[in-house]
Amino acid sequence: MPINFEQLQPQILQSGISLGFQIQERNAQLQKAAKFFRDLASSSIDVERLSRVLNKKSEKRYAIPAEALIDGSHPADRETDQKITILAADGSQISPNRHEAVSFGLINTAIFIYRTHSTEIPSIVTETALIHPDPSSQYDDEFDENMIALQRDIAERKLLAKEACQLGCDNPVIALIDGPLQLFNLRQLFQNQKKLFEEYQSAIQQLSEKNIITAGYVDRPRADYVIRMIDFLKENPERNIQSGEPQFPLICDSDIFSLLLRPGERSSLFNLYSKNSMESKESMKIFFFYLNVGTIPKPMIARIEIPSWTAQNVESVNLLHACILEQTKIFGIYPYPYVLHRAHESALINFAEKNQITNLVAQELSRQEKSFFQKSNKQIMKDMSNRKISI
Amino acid sequence: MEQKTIGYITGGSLKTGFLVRLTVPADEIQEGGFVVVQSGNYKFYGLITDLRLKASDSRFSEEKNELRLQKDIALLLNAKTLYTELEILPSLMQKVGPEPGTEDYAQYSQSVDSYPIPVKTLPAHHAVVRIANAFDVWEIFGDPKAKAKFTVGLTREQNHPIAIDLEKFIHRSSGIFGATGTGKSYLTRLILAGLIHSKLASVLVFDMHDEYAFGDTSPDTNIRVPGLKEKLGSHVKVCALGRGTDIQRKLRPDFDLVIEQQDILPEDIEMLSRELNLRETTSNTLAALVQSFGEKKWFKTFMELKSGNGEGTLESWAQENRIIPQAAESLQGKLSRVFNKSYILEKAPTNCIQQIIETLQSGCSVVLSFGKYESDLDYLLVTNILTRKIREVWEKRTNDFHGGTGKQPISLVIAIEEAHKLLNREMAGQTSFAMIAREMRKYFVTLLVIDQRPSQIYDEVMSQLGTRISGWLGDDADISAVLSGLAGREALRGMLSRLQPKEEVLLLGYGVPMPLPVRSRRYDENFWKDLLGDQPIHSTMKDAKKDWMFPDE
Amino acid sequence: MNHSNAFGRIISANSRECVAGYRTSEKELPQFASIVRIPVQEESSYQIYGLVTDVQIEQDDFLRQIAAADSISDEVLSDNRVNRNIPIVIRILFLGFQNESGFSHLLPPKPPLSLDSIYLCTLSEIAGFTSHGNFGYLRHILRVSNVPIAELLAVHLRQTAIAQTANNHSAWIKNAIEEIIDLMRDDSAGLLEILSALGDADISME
Repeated sequence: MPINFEQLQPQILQSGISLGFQIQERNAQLQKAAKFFRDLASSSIDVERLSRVLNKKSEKRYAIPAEALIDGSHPADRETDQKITILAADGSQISPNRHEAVSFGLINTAIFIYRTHSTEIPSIVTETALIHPDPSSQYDDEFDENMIALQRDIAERKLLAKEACQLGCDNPVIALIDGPLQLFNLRQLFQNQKKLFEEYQSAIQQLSEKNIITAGYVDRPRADYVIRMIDFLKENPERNIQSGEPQFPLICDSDIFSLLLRPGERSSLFNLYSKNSMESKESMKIFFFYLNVGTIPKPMIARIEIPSWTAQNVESVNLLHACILEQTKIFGIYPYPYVLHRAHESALINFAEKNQITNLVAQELSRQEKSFFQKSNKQIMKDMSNRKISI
Repeated sequence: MEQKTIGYITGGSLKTGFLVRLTVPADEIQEGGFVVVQSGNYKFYGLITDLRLKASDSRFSEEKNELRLQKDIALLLNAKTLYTELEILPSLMQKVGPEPGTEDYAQYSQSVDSYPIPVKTLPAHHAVVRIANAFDVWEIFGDPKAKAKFTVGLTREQNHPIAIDLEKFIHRSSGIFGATGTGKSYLTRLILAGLIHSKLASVLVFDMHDEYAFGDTSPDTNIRVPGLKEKLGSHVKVCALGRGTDIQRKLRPDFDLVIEQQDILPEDIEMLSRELNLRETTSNTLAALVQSFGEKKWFKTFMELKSGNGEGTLESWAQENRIIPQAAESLQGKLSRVFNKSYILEKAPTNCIQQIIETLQSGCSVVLSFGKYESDLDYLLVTNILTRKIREVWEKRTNDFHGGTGKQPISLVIAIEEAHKLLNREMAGQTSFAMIAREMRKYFVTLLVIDQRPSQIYDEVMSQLGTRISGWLGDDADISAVLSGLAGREALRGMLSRLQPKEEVLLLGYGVPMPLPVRSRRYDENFWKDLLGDQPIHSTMKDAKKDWMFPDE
Repeated sequence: MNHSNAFGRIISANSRECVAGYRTSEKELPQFASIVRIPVQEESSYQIYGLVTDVQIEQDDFLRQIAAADSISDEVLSDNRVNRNIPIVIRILFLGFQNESGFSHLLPPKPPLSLDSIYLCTLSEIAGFTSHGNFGYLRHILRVSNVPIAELLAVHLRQTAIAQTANNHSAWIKNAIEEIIDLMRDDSAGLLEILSALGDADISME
């Protein structure tokens, strides 16, 4: 059925009106939050107490200052011709679809290895893994979409760790991941997947041991870790947590830092507080800073998440900062790290490849089971109606 | 045998001629070239009548591709797209016979099949066209050393000798034409020498300007060229008009020509109407005179009639004969110009005319030199009287011959210079010449008309001319006149106007199998040596002959 | 030019021409107007001869973005040239074929199959194919559409003249140009354009 544009039109109008109101309100909140942030910066924050209170009360994630000065803005070090090896990881997956001829999952992971100021041709390493249901498994959720996504994230980190650790120690190595460094649903899922959890831990361990500068690049971050911290510290932390009503629901951290950071500057470091971080080892703790990769009229804030071993070394943070900035400049007006895009491109499974893999699996299964595998009727009809009609 | 291929047939018709695409550079080919097309069982002989620059597309010819394209590429393009088209006037075709020199060939060459015939069909597309070689020339024009053959010149491309058939040449009246200064008189000497030497006919030459008997100095080369008398001696008698007249002021003729008053007939006078400014009434007066005094005495008696009144005077005769006295008086005055000519006497010491006729009958040729009598009046009067007498004699002898009472009269050719003076439309009806041209063939007398303005000659006479040999002509009317009555004249027109003066002549008509321009022989010592046999044959001709007879030597 | 490694594979084909894919990471880019051969998988003795009439680099927004940047580092440049899977699409015009009976300048009776490999012809293969018959294959080139025929012929003739000269047949080029003049005689503008291009190609007819 076609879209009912008649119905849609007034709804679009309404959303525009409410968005207009929101903008006003948001601006008001931003001004207020910015003031508080500056006030907080000028007073001293009792980080230990804050941590203790949060540990008791909150399930949410908060920023906890990792430096004395919370409104710091640091320009990048001057560009050097230092040779740095940057590894970027990304992955893509085929999620199981029971309507297809055969139901299977597939994870394709790619590491893009780029050596700055070397004139060397970048290299690409890919690993592809077929995931099929284990009949002996007692857990149904092992084979669902989320699980495949999680496995993909872990595969990325594993391959990243493997490739990074293989490199020689002549030049600094930076390992980049697209998105948050920490896996959100890690704890809950890993209850049933000990093996995966161990693999994850092992990968982090390897990176940590080799002291490889590791980072997760979050483009257009909508998180409000710092806002929550402000909110929390504004009056009485006890009351605030109990009431649970945020004071600045319409703004996020990047709004504050786009006011604070000039192009190329990064913020002070923060510790990302969460239940996980409290439970896990020191090496699993996550820090972050914000970075303005945009320009004067158009600031663009990215969040860079880093593990503790990177956060502890100012030199590493500075190098990471300069390096990411250089990478984002390659794309001109759409700043985004070149290496991450290339890792994404390399990992991507396109439609033709997906079909080809499906056919290969179906052929093999047919051969073994002497029966014919075909799509579900629903899928066949869907494919037919999606096909372009040529005259 | 040399086979120089020059192109191939691309089109054409019997009416318009054959079209040929040239495969050799255009400057190797000239208008008038004698070419052969071999197609199937036939060889076609023809003449190049036109050359045209053609392009497969006008753009290839309009733009200078050699400036725009790489040189080698431009050369290839030009070679493929620019070419020369020839137009060939086809004349004869002939069945291809066996190889010359074989037994079969001997048999074939005697058969009717071997004769060239007028073109009646077309060669196939892409038939190869080549320049005629010595053998082709020999097949068509015959052996130049054969009896009754006289070599007029050489083909322009390959120097093959081209001969005319003298028997055919004298069989019908012929013409030699060419504008002033194109070597016409030397050409005439050449032909006359050949003719006299061949002894096929006696020749009477009316030598108006004293050129033929004793030769003169060429105005171009300043070299003295011999005359017919000098070289042919006893075969040629020189006769001078008037008693005791020297030729070229120092040379004595063999005999003189004096005309008796009784030989002059009224038609001789009428013919002089323009020169004497006679009136329309003259013929009445002349008729009355003949009636009064008789055919032999009218002239003398009339001229002796006195003026004044009374019997025996002009006036009384006029009145008696109902002639207006003033008209008779005027005529007498005008005729006194004739009467007073020193070569007209009441009685000649010898019968000069008879002497000339007898000389001619004996097979000897006569050159009648007009000496100082160079006026048109002299020329018209004398040639007409003489020709009339000769005609009478040849008619009688022929009739006797046919009646079984006499021998066949020897053929006679009367060569007349400035022929248009005698054969123009006005005069043609009045002189004997027109009649000779038309009818005297049967009586073994033909004319050799020599003129620079053939258009002035009466059409009917021109159309009777069998063989025509022409040098360069510029005037369109003259060209048309020379070509009148011939096939393919449109194609030949341009050729006549582009002949090289003094070097080239076009052979046409009855005496030659097909029209052909040739480089004419030089009238010089070599010619005389060739003709009289001091040297066997001209070296080029010898080579040419050897070529086709024994190609391997 | 002298090696005979496969450099691409057939993507689509019809009776007259085919389209082949080629990856930027391949060492040698097939030149415009190169003669190639396509052995048809099923029949070992049957191979199609063709001419590269177009080499097209597929559009890619990513490259556009990089191209718009102020400066491009060497690493990014070589990454894009070597690693990125941007296929070069090659259009190949069929010129004839070879089977057990030898060469033919007629169009191939069967087009190649998908993913058949394409090989650059060696000098002797070029000389062999182009010497066969009487330049019949030129007619395929002269009627191709959407291709600058003059440029195509100029480059083709230059390359083939080198091959023919190497095989002791230096008169080939002259005969070939004469044949083109014959074939194009009725299209003076087109012919002059071709001959002008031949001049630019600096073809030697020594």
